[in-house]
Amino acid sequence: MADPSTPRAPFAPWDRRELPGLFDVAESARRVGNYKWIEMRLFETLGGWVATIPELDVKMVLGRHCYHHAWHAELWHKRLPELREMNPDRLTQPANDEIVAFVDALREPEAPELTIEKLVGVYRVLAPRLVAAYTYHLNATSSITDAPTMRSLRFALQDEMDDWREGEMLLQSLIDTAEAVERAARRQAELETLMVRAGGVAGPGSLGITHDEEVAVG
Amino acid sequence: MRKIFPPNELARDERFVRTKIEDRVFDPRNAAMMERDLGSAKLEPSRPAAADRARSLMHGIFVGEIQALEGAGRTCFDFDEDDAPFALKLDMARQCWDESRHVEISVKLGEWMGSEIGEFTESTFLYEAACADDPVLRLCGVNRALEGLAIDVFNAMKEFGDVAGDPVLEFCEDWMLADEVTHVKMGSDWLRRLTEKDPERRNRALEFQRTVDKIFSLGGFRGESDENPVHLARKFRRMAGFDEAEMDDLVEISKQAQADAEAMAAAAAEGGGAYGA
Amino acid sequence: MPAITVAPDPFTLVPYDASTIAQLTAEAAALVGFPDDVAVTLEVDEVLPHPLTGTFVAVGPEGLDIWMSGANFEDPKRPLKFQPELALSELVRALLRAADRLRPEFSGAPTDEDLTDRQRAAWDVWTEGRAHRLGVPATRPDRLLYHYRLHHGFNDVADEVFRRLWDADALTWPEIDEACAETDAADTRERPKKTALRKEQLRAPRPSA
Ligand SMILES: [Fe+2]
Ligand SMILES: [Fe+2]
Repeated sequence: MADPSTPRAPFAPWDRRELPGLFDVAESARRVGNYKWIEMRLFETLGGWVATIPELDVKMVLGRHCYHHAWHAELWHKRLPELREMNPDRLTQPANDEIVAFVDALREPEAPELTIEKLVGVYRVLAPRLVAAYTYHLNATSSITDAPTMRSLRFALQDEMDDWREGEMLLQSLIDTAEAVERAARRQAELETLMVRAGGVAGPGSLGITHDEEVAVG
Repeated sequence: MRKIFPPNELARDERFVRTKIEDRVFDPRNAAMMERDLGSAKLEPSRPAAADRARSLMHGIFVGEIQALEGAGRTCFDFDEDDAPFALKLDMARQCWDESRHVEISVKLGEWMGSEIGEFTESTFLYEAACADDPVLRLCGVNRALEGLAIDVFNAMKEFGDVAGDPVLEFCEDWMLADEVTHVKMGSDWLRRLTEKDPERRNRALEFQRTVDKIFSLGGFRGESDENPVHLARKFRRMAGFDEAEMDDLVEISKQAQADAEAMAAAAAEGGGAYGA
Repeated sequence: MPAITVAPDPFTLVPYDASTIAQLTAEAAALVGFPDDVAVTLEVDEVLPHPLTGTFVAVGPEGLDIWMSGANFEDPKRPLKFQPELALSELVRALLRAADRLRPEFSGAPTDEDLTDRQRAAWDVWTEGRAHRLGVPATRPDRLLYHYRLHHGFNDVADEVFRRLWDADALTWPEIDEACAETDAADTRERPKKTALRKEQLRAPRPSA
């Protein structure tokens, strides 16, 4: 057995975490505030839609996903004070006016025959954007200093990936005609355009790069 | 999407058929039914038509769960944070998931009992209580009154499953009962928190709860006598924040609802409303 | 075709039509092969709403008496509405059991009023299985299975007996009774002290009324 008094390296050979990260405290907090804002809008929307959706399986899935996003919002709400933001509401903000416009458009459909439009907004536009922004944050932030955010990101990402897949499968089961394909594509293009204007759920730089020319799309 | 979504627009597929509470209240058979001595109305396997009655109640639970899911979802959406605190909305989102599971459980239980989706009617009065424009009223009307009733109903179904030796029914009802106690407790906690400094609002909410309780006593559906199919589950209600006085009050409300229903049926019988000759 | 009388005529509480019901009874009798020389009197208790269902048959020297709750004919989705398909299947069941009672192999069977829940549920399974094979709509094994399990127990022995009863082509009363003894022996539940309410109790007036 090894002598317990023998000094060991603080980082095991396989632990390759590095100190530097792309975000300082304020930037990580800003992003987390954006995440909380968008997750809140998302869970509210899913909750509101439940009553408007006639397909029983979709209704139940949205009820479940509603809670997932509320829980993510709660994770971010709890993380904000740890990032020196003692008033979480101050940072619970949309990244910009364009993301507000996106959310307004996302939650617009109400009629019972618009399930495809509702699901496309969430599972073909917003969910992939959340996955992208969370993945970028996870990969870019300091794996030592911002580890608590990373832990929450991983939990949220697990849900996002599962829910995205489930939503996509629901869509595939609903899109069964050329006309439905057209509807889904049209809806995706409309919302994607708005999302590109916003630059992602955390604004331009959601993925670390800012495409000025892309932000001008539409 | 609008704020406050009307009950008559709740989205359903073609299997579902809706009835109004008045249809039941003004059923021309009511007066004659009251002349009958059907013995204990408690749901028991040895009672006549026990399977049909249990299936019918199970379907009522199923549509109730859908509406509870819809109501909780609407509370997430209908209010901004000035009216409904963030933590309250989180509770409602959690309830969405729970009710969603309850719908799943109810579908499976319905199949187990030989029933099917849409076999019986649906009335939307549960969701109607979830349309109040004050979240405290919703929490009193839905979480305290209706989910309180759910505690009583699940407890009755659990006992039915226990007596019948139906392991699936008893298992499922016990799990749902645990969730409902949580939901009723949410209602009790938020009522206390949100109306701490506003006794008038608290009274309004409790009054709304009494009104909903009376409607949902359905002319004697729930009470503490042999004539009531569903009995007050006092132990679980206590866990969910009800005090004894409130529960005694509820028994009184139920008796009053039963008396009112009998009077209405008698009046309807006198005023005609029958078919044929 | 047997002589068929339906009461009440007219109905006063529910919008049912006695002649329609008589016609469906004749249809059911033909389907079942019910003897033409046995007069059928059907009393529908129009007071009882869904789900308070119930059927009792009694064969005597005057012919066959059927008592049926109005709920047996009522669309569960639409209170008060008569559902012909459901009515036909209910009448087929009643006539199948009545036809059994006309056979000598059933001479030892207690009257419907005196059957235990277990006996009645077992007989109902055989009846429903035959109705199913006759192509009668609205027969559902899953539905009857739950009713049966309530009275025979939730266990493998009971389920096996169910399958046997459902599939049987011809049975005698002693065989049905024997099946009941089999499930009874495997049933570990506490037995209810009260017996089920019977027809007369469903119709009994309140003491004060
Ligand atoms: Fe529930
Ligand atoms: Fe609930």
